[in-house]
Amino acid sequence: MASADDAPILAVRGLTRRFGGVIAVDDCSFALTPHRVWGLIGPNGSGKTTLFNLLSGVLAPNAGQIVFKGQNVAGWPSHRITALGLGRTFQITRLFHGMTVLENMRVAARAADPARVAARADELIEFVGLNALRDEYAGNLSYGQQKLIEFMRILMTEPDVILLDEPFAGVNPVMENKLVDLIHTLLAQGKTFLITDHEMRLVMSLCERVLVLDYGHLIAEGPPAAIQADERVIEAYFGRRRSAAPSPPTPLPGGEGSSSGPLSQGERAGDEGIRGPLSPWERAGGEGASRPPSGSREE
Amino acid sequence: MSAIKLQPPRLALSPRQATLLLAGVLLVCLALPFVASAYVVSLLFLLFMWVALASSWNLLSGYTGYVSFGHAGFFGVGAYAAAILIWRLQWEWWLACLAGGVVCAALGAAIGGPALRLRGPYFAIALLGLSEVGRIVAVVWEPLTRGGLGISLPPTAELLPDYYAMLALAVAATALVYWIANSKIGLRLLAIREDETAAEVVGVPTTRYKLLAFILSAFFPGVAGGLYAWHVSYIDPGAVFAVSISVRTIASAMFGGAGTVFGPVAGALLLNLLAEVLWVRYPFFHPVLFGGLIIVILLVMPGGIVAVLQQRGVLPRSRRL
Repeated sequence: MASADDAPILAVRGLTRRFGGVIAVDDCSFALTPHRVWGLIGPNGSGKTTLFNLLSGVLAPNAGQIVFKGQNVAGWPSHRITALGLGRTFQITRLFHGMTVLENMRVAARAADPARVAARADELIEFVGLNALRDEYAGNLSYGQQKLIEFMRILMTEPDVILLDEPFAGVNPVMENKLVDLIHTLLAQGKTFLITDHEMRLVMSLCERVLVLDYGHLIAEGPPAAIQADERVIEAYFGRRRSAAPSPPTPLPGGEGSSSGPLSQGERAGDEGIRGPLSPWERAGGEGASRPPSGSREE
Repeated sequence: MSAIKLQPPRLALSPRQATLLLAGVLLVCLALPFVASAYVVSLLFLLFMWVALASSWNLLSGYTGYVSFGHAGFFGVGAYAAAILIWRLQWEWWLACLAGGVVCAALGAAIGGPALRLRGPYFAIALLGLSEVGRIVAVVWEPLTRGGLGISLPPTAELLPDYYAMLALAVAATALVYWIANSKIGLRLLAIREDETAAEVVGVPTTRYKLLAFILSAFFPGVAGGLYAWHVSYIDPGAVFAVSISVRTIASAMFGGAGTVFGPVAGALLLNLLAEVLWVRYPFFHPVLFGGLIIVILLVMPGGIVAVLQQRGVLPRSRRL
């Protein structure tokens, strides 16, 4: 018998989005069960950010359903989806630069009581150690600090599901560790995450299950170990093998047999999916790597 | 990790000092008509009108970033609505002026929905069309507006009621901006200006807030137009739908500092006082000089007076300013 935790909190059915002749998301279907960290990976241009934009209401789909907490929210404006409990961050931070850190937090607050809003904002700002900057303009913060504040700002909306679009991009290791710790803390509080990032080491260590997009299609879904061994995923990232002779699949980042770093995120997190700090592209080069690692297609 | 340290502002007033200062200024404004000449009172009437126009423009454009050229349209509609109610229906002048504001707010509600779907220059151009459409309607709809002949109203016997009404309107517009700027509404309007998509994503119903700002912003020029019509006793389409009304309103707000509470007030007072001086001194060249002055001021101080004073540490960085 399925437990309550197995009932999906967010289910996508036949989701499609076209831009002119380009089908950015093509008939995607999947379901996210709650209280888990889900990963969404795929080469550049595979449609990850478009999918995030569809889920969060920034874009309306051409077809398909997005069922969140039992309601089809496809085509809803973002603020209604946010009010229902789905929050997101952006690939490139979108803080309100002309407003202070505290104002950025206050503007997102769902609570009406100003005292409660101020207390919650202070609590979150302090949580990421930026209380000294609470009255500073957000535009004056470093990029890593902006990432943290954008994350905290979403928490002011009291979301149940949080979409993180490349949370580790351009973030230094100290901030990276902070973000990972934060995700674990919030996970323990019952939040559900969908994370997309090119930092495979972290994605594989954090996520219990991973979805893989390629050219807008969902080509694989499963636990990190299975994803790393999946031929379709390997092909999506590294291209079709030139040689007809069978050879062992090139391990994906963090896959079996890759070298292990001094203390990887996965080891800290106790996840078997993580193996080492080398990027996939560093280890995958040479034969079979017919698709460039990044930049070949625009998101 | 340390915060950027700022020098304390040189002109930081406590809330009590600020309240006393504002009360003092208000008292002076209330007392001035008893000591000043009719010319000065009329000039102040016009200055307060520009304050009301600039503050109400600021409410929409300063806080949401939607630059409107439609103030002349609302001013003209308010002027005609009030004039028609006074002339044809013999309404009390103050009631007719308020009705002019209500008509403009209703017009704002009607056109705000489609207009606010546009952004940037498209929105500005769409609103620019409002004053032109208003002018043409006023010219063509002769049975109601007397067309190009304009509408003459009974001349006002006393300046004081007009003066105090316009002062009250300017104070009301500024007080509303102050209240909004220091409320969650103000923060949400600013968020729209900063990044509308991000504002939506953090839960701001941007369409609703923009429409609210648009309606409030339309009300004040409507009342101001009515008061102006009553004060000058005669209006015609070319005078009250002139695009220059929008331009001067925008220049006033930007000169003082769009997106601040008191910037547009200071900008409206200083810029229009300057315009008056130029008009008196150089009656033939004043439009050229005034236009050149606006260009120079905006080039030198793109953020306005308040921003410059804040950057130089004279004024504190506060939404209360």
